[in-house]
Amino acid sequence: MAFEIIDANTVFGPWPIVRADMPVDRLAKALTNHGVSKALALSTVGLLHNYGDGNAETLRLCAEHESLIPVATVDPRGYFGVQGIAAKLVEQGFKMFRFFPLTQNWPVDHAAFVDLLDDIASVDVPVMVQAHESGCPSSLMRVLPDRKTTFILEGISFENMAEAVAVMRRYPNVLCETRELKVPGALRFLVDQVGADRVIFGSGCLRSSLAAALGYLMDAEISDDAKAAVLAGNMKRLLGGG
Amino acid sequence: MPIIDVHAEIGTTPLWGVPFTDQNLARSMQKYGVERSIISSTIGNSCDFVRGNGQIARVVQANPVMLGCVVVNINYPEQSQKEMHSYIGTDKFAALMLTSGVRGRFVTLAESEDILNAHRRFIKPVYLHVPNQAAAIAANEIAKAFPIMKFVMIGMGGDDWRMATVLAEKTLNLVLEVSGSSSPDKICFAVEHIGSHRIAYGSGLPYVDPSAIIGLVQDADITDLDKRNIFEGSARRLFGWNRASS
Repeated sequence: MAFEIIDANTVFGPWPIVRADMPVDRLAKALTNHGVSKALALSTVGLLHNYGDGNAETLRLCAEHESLIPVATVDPRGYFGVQGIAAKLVEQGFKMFRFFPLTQNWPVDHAAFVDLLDDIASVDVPVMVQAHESGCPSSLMRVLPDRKTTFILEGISFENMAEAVAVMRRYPNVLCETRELKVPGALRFLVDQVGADRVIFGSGCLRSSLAAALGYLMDAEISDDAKAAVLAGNMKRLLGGG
Repeated sequence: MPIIDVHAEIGTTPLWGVPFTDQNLARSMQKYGVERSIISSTIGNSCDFVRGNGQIARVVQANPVMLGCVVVNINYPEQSQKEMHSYIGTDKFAALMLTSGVRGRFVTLAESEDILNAHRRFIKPVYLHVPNQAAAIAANEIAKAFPIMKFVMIGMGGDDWRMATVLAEKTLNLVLEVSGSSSPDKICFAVEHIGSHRIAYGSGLPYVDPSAIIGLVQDADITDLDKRNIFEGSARRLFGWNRASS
């Protein structure tokens, strides 16, 4: 069975931390080669330098590639409560927000992040939050009460899956992404726990292998309907197209 | 007292994205009597050294009072060498900055050896970010391995300026750049131990206001000659500029 594939987690741009070759053209080519129709993409300049320059670059380069859907980021350490920033970014064409508390080293109950989430509540777009370390999903619970925004936990692995599942059981607006799922049976287990409609395919390409992420998902012992939901259906629903 | 600023950055700042352009720097230079600045790019130091070097090349071409510092990243040795060959041989670039790709993480000898071997023929000084004791020890090891080159310890060890100074006392190709800790004692201590001719003024712009570092030097209990060395003379010696050619 051929599946439609939307990758919710891709990045391009400079990566100074370790050696990596990450031009946007390489990302677009990888998507084509692996049959991915759309990818939510973000320039690393927004993650590593400043979000103003990064968002501008994301928007400009995504406009040059039909397969790329622009994702905005805002670093709370440089956010001064500008009201309406989320609406402005969505109006520019951004379809999701991503946050990187681990890479940028700020706590998820950072007051400026809370302000940002308040601002994002006015727009109907999902929020993906870096959560690959143990303790991250639990920390996020501090800012979840009374929020209707959809949160996607990025980088959940076997090590913090129980924690993620516990959070997801309490908060139906929390989903999780698949980039770090590598243990045999982990995806099936996750789907059994929270349902296929709350798992989103993300590869982390160009930082992580798209082939590896896709291979893992395709080989998972879950139903075709579940695969279809994880690979594209859930993300389409969040983007308002399905 | 004329000033040479051996370390300033231009471009949008990380985090806040506040623009600090070459015009902003030129105004600051005029305000504080800085006659020449060695500059690198904020984005070059944070995430994209190739883009940053390109920006600086355009700026220094248009601003004779500014000279470039080529930024390279130890994670990209081949690309770094290409950048060096493109820029550092020209008279518009005065120094080489070795970075690790992460602010606050210093470079080590093992990581930088290939790049430094390739840099041997260019003679120009090498900058190393030295925000703490561990970075100072790593910088000292690098300097000892390449005794024919001069190494500038940007930030002179931060709060560990005593350690940086003591290392520089024994390793004669180390030069201290004074941005970093605001300790009122560090300038005096460094002058006593290594002499003002191996201490150079760097503003640390746009992250530090020049008034703070200038005040630190002005306020130190050292002679006017020492202050002149720090503000100007050491840089001239470091870059091989004599008064007539400047």
